[in-house]
Amino acid sequence: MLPKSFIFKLPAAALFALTVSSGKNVAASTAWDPATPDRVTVSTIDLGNNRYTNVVATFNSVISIGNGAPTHNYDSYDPATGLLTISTIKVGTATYNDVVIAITGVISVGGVTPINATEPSTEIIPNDPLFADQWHLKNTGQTGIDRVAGKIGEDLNVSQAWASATGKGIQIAIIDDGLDIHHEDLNVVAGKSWNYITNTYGDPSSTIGSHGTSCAGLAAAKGNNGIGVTGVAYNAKQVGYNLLSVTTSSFDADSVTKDLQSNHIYSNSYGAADNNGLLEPSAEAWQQAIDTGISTGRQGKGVIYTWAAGNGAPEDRSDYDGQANYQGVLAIGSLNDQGTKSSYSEPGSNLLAMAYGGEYCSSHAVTTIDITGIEGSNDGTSNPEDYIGQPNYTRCMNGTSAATPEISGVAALLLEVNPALSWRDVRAILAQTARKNDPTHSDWITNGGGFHINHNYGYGVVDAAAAVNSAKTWKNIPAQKTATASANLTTPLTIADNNAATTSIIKLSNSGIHKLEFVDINITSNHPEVGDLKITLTSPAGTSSTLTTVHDCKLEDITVSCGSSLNDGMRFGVVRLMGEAADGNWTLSVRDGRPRDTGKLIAWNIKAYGY
Amino acid sequence: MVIEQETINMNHNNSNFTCTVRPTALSRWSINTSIGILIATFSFNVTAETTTHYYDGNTQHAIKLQPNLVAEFASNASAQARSTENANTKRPFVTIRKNVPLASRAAGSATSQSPVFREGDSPAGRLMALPGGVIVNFKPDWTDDQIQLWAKTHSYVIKQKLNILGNWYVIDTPPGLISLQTANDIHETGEVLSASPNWWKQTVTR
Repeated sequence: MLPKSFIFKLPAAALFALTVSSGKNVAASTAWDPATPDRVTVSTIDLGNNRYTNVVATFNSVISIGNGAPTHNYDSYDPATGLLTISTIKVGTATYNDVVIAITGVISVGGVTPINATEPSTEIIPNDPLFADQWHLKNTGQTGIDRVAGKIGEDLNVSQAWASATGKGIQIAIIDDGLDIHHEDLNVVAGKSWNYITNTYGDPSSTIGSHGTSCAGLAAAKGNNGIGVTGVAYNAKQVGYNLLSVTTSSFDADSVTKDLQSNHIYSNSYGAADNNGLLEPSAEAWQQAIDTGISTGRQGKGVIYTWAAGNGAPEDRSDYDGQANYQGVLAIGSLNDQGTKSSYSEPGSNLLAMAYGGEYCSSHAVTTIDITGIEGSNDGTSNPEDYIGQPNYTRCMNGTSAATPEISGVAALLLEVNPALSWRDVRAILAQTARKNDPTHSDWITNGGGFHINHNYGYGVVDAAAAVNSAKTWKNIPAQKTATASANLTTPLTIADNNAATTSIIKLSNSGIHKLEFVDINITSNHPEVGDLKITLTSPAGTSSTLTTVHDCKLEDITVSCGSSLNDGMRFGVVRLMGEAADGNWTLSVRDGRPRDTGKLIAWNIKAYGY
Repeated sequence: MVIEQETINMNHNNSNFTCTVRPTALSRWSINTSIGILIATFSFNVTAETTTHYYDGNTQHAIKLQPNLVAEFASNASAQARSTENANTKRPFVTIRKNVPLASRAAGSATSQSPVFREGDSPAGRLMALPGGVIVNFKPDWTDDQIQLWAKTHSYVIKQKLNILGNWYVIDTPPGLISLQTANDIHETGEVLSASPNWWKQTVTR
């Protein structure tokens, strides 16, 4: 929803990198209104393969006006110069032809259709009243509390996917602090949620917060029902497991395997505490549970586990999280409304892709549901930054927690259009169709498989429409192979104190893996301060993946030792090597970047997954 | 999780505590509880930042006791128990209290308390406590009958079979150190693939 005073400045070259509203709009005539002298409404603009309608753009000068009849029956835009040539424009009662203006930004775009397309645009705009605020679904330049406009088009591009899929027939389990199963805008499967406080089917309403309910709204709040908000998979069903009420090891394992026969997706927006820089291994029972889900769920095709990458930047990396870095889960990071990394979103070599968690409520977070009534994060009265009078909804949800259920929703769309997809297919599709957000970021590289990757962004932001289109014709990837190899360290390698890196090479041969999907790296070192170490893995194709950086650990904002976390061994996971071959030399580099503590690299090994 | 700061200085004079793990075949927590047998293979002082360990798979993990912290569990039995009282009162499952001594120092006592540990040797390590129970991964060729017999032989009570590949079961123990002791004891016999305490671990939303 754009306020009348809003003028959005956008580089001219990027003007039409837009996602726009219904292509069924009837184009208005091109016009300039003296009451708003800085802007012009343009009927149609052809750019590339698309025709944009009802574009409201700002401009700062008129370059030229033609003298004769218009030379075209449509308007054209040159991204290289930022010049817009208007075939015919009305100014009051006068008409001018072939007017060239220098535009400075865009306020809104009414619709888009592919040029020469035989069908109209398939975009769906739900009638839910708060959809207009859900910039993560459709970013039209909405402003947050900070009054800064979002970047138009920085969204999941899901409105273009809804004509193909809305999550029908898909069941998502929200594992979190609870779920408001009676919420007016949720489609919850009756009797199939689990209450870990009683360890029975029942009401998993939270005792400690609204987090799970808000996550559920992002994944699959009911859509096009005329109330509240829209979920990504707005016709999917959900169940809730309030694991965070009782986070024991056995329940950790139980929750991700509960009702495997009926759940398709498990959305996980939790983990070990962030902001402390610690390495946090995951339990073997939990790992086995994930392996169970990906091998036996969905009749052997595997369920999909989405996992929040973590909110602990800059101290934390998602690499340090033994759950988010596990082979069977899809680690999701968060972007803000400008399409750049949310300030808190952790980087990592395990990071698959991004969605939108925004920043903070005081700037621009995301809109979703809240616990019914005055409980939850929004009581409807006391927080002026949140919705007043609408306590069942909130605009203050954020975090990689928010981004993760969005991808659960996208996964639901993929499974609806192609139920034959395996969980690995879903992972591959998300990576292959992700959009390279923040394209000038210095960490973007192309890996040996031809994918653009970035430690901060994984393969980029998920493009729901592109992913759904890909899923429709996707051919299942072959059965997964694994290959392991260990470093032959007859004597531990000394890690020189605050000095050059120690390197060790593993040669992997005859793996039969021509396209990697994932790599585990197990590292054991007796170095007493893991915060001193920068550890990097370089693949045979030359792709470098950071596993740890020199960093501090924090206890309640006090800097403390990170300890000797590698002494017991630690497994890291790398997902950014998709498409590369596994065979060849793998190089581990360990550099001590701070003086005083010393130690040795005792052992390391890799396990490659691919086909 | 709720962390409370107690304002009362507690007397720790009687907080020294030594408990032991007997060889597996005899390490029945019920016996240890009732008669407090101490066979010195596992020594513990809850007033010091004692470093000890547990097993996860074949990996031995270091943990450090936090002598100023105590975990109180809402249920008065293990985390596997069904506690409608807790569900109705909406109490948090665990409350970490500072500067409060363990109410019961006896190993295996039927208490809702547990000492608190930090994972690894960093002062910032993840908080962990013992709500009760041991997760055991039995060898894949063991049948359910064999596992039940093994449990019966050792006077263990199997509470649950985990719905995951392999032979994963949860054995009941009271909350507290006895859970750690029992897990380590079972693991070190080599009769099973692994045994770990059913930890409560500090977990946060993101």
